[in-house]
Amino acid sequence: MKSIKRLKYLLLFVILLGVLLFSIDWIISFGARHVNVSDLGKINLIFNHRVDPDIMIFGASDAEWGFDAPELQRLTHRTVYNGAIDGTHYRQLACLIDEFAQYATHNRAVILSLGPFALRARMGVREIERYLPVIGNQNVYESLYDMDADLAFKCRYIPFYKYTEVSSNYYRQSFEGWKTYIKSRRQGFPLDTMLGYVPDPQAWQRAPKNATNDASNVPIDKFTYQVLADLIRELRSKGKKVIVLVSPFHQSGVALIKNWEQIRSGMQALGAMADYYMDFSTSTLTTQKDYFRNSFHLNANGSKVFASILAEQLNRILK
Amino acid sequence: MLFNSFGFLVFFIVVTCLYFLLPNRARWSLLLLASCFFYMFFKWEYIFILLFTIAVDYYAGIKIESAEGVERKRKWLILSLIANIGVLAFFKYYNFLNGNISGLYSLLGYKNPIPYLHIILPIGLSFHTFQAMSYTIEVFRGHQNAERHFGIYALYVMFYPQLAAGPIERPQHMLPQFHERKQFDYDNLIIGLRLMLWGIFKKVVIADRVAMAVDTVYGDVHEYSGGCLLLAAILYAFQIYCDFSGYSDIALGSARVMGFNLMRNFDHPLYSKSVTEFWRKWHISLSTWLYDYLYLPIVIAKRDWNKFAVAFGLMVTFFISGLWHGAAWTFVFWGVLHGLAVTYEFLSKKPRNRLAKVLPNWLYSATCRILTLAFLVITWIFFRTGSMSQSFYIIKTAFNPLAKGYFHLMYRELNDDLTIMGFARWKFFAVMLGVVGFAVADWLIYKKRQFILFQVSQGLRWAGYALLVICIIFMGVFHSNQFIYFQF
Amino acid sequence: MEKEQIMQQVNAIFIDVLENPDIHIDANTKADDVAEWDSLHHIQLVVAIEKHFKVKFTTREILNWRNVGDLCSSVSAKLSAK
Repeated sequence: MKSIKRLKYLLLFVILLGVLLFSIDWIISFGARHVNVSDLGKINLIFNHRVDPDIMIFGASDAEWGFDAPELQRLTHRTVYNGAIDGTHYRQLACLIDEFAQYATHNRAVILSLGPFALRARMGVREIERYLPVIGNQNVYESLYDMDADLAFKCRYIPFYKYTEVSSNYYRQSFEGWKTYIKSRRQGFPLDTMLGYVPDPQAWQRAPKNATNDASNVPIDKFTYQVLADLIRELRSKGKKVIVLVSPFHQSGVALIKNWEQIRSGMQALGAMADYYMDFSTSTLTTQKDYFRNSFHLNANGSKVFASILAEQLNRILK
Repeated sequence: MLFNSFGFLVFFIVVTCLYFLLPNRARWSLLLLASCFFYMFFKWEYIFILLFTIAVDYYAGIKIESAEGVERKRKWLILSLIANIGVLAFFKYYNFLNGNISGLYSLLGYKNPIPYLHIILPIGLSFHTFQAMSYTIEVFRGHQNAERHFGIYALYVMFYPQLAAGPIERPQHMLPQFHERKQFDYDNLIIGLRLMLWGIFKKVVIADRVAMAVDTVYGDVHEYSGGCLLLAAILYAFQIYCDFSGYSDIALGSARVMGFNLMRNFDHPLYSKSVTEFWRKWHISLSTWLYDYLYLPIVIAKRDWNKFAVAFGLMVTFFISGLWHGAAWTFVFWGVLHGLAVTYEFLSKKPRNRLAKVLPNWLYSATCRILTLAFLVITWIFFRTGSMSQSFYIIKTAFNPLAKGYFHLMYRELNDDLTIMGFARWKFFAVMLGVVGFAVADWLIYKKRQFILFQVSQGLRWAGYALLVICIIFMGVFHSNQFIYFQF
Repeated sequence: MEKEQIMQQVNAIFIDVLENPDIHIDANTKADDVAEWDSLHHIQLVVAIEKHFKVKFTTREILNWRNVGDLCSSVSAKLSAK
């Protein structure tokens, strides 16, 4: 009986510990929710319906580092936002684009940027920590659940489980989020100054040592293709002009993909469903090593040049 | 199911609660069922291997006990040992032996006709076969009665807290515990939970974080400077200690909550003053097993050789110990080095004792500790790399401080960040601080012979527990691989 | 030979092998009770005892000793069987 009585203390300890943990959790989450820079911030801004530019860009790292949003804004005299998220597949981006399509009333044009690997199948969720502040959103939860049900469920419903998934970067960002919150409480939730663009200042890099330089087949994933087709249809039904764009990559990259022509025709088919189709894979840019950091990514220098080419075309079609 | 996974947390809570809710006569079936579930979580088909050895040893145990005369008893013992060692040899050493045969063949210019097999090592195989052999040997020696209850014998082999990586228990210690009636006990609960907490902390906060630095360096040995290699080798000592002793603490703790006492597996081995002492404090359940069933019989049989008997026994034992850890020559070499060190210490006892009397006590113990730790760090290089040439390269480079660029620690990554062993600088220093902090805490526990938090007031103690929980949740690494000792 | 005598002679062997003149053993003494009596010295003790009493133990006997008392009864059993 004595044992049972002493359990009271253990219970009290567990309750106090719980209160403590939930407070820490709240502090970290609050900060993370108020981040407005980097990929985490982008997702926050979109789910807080703070982004509604004339021209919106979605894509993966090729787009995040390749579309110089401030420069495009200057050249097109239209508002631009780069909503691309590094390393992320369209299946995972779908919830973001979906949400955007639902709320953005001002927006006129959406660019869906396709890097050479955009149609490839991808396993699992990439960097779930970027989605944690908005995981309560049904749209986000369902699309994450679709990719990794177990992970999505645990992150949403089991207290503190998400902290076993995050990197220390999450805590640093949360701290930055608090700073942003304290500084700009009155203006609400400001956009970041780079408009989602991440300039990459590096010159051409040798490929990482362990990267293979052998050409490989990159099969088209039917499911991903379907997701993109659905997104194009949905965006168009909301009265937005959809531009499917094959992003520029250095010509050395073509040599690494055996079935590039096949992929390209798949992208072309998607382009046919959209309002416009632009293919920069053969642009004059792609011969210059100065414009790239590696085979598949523009550097800051290259994206400035790319912006001027793109702006000209955008000005023509968005008259 | 890994001890540091969310799944195990749920499993542990459910099993422990059910254990105390069920009447005593049903408890063994619960534990057996839970252990089967735990085992089959890795690869369910392998349960049949376990079933096979359990059945053989159960039957052999009874036969050994009832057989008339030592010779008959011995026959049954040998049958049991062949079954156990056979299973172990097939699953663990088949490809190793075959690889060596291929080497011999190719030396002679032929191709080895025996096929290579893709075998996944069953979880905990080296541990539970040793534990099962301990049972039949003890029955043979007459130190243990044969167990008649099949379920309880099965539970002895596959009790889930110790199934995956020990401690390798003894029948005299475990079997009575399965028969006795356990009462819920608050002290057991607290002691058990505390052990688990400390074990998880060691694993996810220290070992796995340190592993990131170690893996970075060992992943690309030729890229890093001698200083980095030396640091990585030292950090690996802490990694493997925190990893394995952390595992053992969780094992002991999760059994203790239900009232089971498992044997202590670690006694602060990194502070040993000799390699001999290290082996009394590191993986105690294995070293006592080898001592009782291998070393002692050898030395007794060869006792007329006097000192050579001991040296011979030590070398054989450490050779086997190396082989037990892994089917590779690097492990054997590691074992042989330890055998040589312990033999040397045995033979040089007198002169060393004379030296100890001359030197001031603190100086002598400090020197011994540093030399022992250095020996451990160097031998663990073979343990970690799995390649002889790479190990020698590391030793050569790490202990050549006069080489150009030896103290070069910082590296520029592709994205222009400066890193030390794969960590951003501030993070690296935080990790080092963590390791040093852990070493100090571990030293204090060692000196005071109890958990340091016992020394302070109750409020502070509970605050300490809370701090450990917070560190685990917010600073732990949960995406690493298994525990190091799972592969053995 | 009397048990007392055997015990005294064994004690002398202990002092000799373990090089510690202060050792005093009785029937209940275990390896843990004597600091120098470690695993490695155990064998030297066995060999010295076998030589002194001119007996030979089996492995099984040696493994079954739990304390000095068991050891001495083994010795006296061997001696009386002679």
